[in-house]
Amino acid sequence: MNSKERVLKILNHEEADYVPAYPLCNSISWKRYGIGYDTWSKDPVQCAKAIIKTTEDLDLDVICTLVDLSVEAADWGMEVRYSPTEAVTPTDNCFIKTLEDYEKVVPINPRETERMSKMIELTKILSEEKGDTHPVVAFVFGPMGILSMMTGLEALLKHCMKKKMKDTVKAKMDVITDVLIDYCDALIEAGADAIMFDTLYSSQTIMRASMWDEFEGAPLQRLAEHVHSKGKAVMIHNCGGGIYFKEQIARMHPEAISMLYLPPDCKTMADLKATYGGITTIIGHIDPGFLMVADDDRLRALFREQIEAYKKDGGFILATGCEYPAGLDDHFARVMVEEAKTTGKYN
Amino acid sequence: MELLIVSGFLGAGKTTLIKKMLASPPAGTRLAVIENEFGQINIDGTVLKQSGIPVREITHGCICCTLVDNFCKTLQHLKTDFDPDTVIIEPSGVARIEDILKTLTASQIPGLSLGPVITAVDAVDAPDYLDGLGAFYRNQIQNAGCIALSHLDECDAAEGRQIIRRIHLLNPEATLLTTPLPQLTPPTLWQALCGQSDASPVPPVTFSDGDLPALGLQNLTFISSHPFSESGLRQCHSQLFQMGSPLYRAKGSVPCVAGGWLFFDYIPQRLYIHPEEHLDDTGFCVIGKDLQAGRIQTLLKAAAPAPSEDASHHHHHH
Repeated sequence: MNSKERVLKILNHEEADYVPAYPLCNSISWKRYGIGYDTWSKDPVQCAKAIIKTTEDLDLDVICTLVDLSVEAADWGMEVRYSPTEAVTPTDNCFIKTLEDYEKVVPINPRETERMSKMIELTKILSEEKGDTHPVVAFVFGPMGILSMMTGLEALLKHCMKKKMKDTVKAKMDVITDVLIDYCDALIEAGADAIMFDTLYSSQTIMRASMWDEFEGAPLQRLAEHVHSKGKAVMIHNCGGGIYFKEQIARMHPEAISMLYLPPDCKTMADLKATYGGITTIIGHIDPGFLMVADDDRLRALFREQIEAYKKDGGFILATGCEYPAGLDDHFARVMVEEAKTTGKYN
Repeated sequence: MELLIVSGFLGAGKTTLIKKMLASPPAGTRLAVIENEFGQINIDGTVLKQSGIPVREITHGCICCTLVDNFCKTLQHLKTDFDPDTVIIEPSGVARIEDILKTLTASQIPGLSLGPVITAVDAVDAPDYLDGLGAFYRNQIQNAGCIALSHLDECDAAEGRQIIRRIHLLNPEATLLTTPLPQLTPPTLWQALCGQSDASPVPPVTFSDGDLPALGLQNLTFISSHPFSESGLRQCHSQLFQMGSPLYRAKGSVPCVAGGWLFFDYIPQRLYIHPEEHLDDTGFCVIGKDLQAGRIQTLLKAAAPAPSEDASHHHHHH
């Protein structure tokens, strides 16, 4: 059984040969390939080679195009900073500072912009090289996340709470969503099997569920419906605390949710499996922070605990809850894959 | 190397507080600053250069795990390169302080100690933010050793009292600074970090029944005629806050098995018990939302050592 077959069974809530493993290792793939983070972020050919090498070396089951969270916002004109050792980041020159600045958020063509066009190319290369054996998941930041990159996170939250700004925020979320629909089309044409939307704001950490639904619920529903209409899977990535499973499932009907923390209505892993395990596939949820201080024994114990809690009847992919720490070597990723194949073996 | 976290949402006054701390630190203290990637301390470059205060920026990855990798590395470098006595950390305004504290505790950098967290809160915006924003906002208040209330002078008296009470419910232990930030002097600020309130202290807050409906809270009072032990009161504390319904505080006084009375004051993270020989008012008062009187009564009966069940309760329900 290859990785694509394995993951497909799991997504269909069937038991495969073993639990698939997906530590989010793009963050170390550039180093392992011997190129700088900046080159990796800008050059889809080199980026694809680095991701493929890491996938093959570590025997990972999923390929995802997550590069950084500035891709889409940069194409609207947000200034970004490249570094050979760190992920692309916005500069201090905030793109949207005033209500009037929101007018800069206009329709753009993702097939022709600087960064999104390269993500489309990256997806195409990965699909052509590995699409027969591995699911290729295209990563797209959610509309609220994109807007928050342009305004600054705190500023966007403030704008959402101000009467005279919230309508503008909603209108621009719609503009962004229209562009993302085109983007998803291009990614699917390039060979993506699934689109993974980062819905960071749909979490207890950031805002109330009702506020999230008011601003991002309908845009994400539109996106998810569009992806489903193309016959592709919808996945969610959300590493916030207490993510709103119920509300996101209601809007997006995702085939899988990549998470770090339990939702607020589930006190234990058993609760999560019982409540949502039959509805969506759980991807997660090893804390990258824990990897910074863990040792093999404690980590294996944690992998085993999660595998035992979630593996029954498929619907589980063992993964880190967010990106594998860029400062670590790949040892713990290898341990994760090993445990997925042994403790995660199905009879 | 002591770490001081200066937290607060956008516009609350974090930058003002940090500037004041940098302008006049305690004599002989070597300072350093770590700011998040969107930090806008905007200290005059000349001032910083002359002062020799190193400022390091944390560049971001994902918001949830920004701090883990970068924070530890940055702290290590500061210790090696500058060996500061105190490092002021300005995290992102949506950071959960609890997560930062966990990361710093787990970092195992030798010689590291955690100082108090100071949180800036905008008194005008705080009511809306407490209702609309996520757990990070309450977390910054709950984990603060010192809370600096900005723009309190722009609230009317009733609004000001209201927000102070809401903050006090979330964190009764924090030192409160109510002097308008532009007038706050660096010595007063540094003293507040040692637990000394400012020149115009807030009077101790007591709750009357009239306050609670506006806060959406209930107040239940139980009268027990049979005595408690100190261990029984501790047992109550852990069980009460695991009940599931939002419970903010419990306080009161109960008869003690050893004679006299026990006065107690509970918040989720801490409890305070001390014996009293004589008290005028007694009762076990619980403040929170969706309180289940029957369950609480059962819990109290189980915690009291006498087997006979003669505890009665009456409650004020709003």
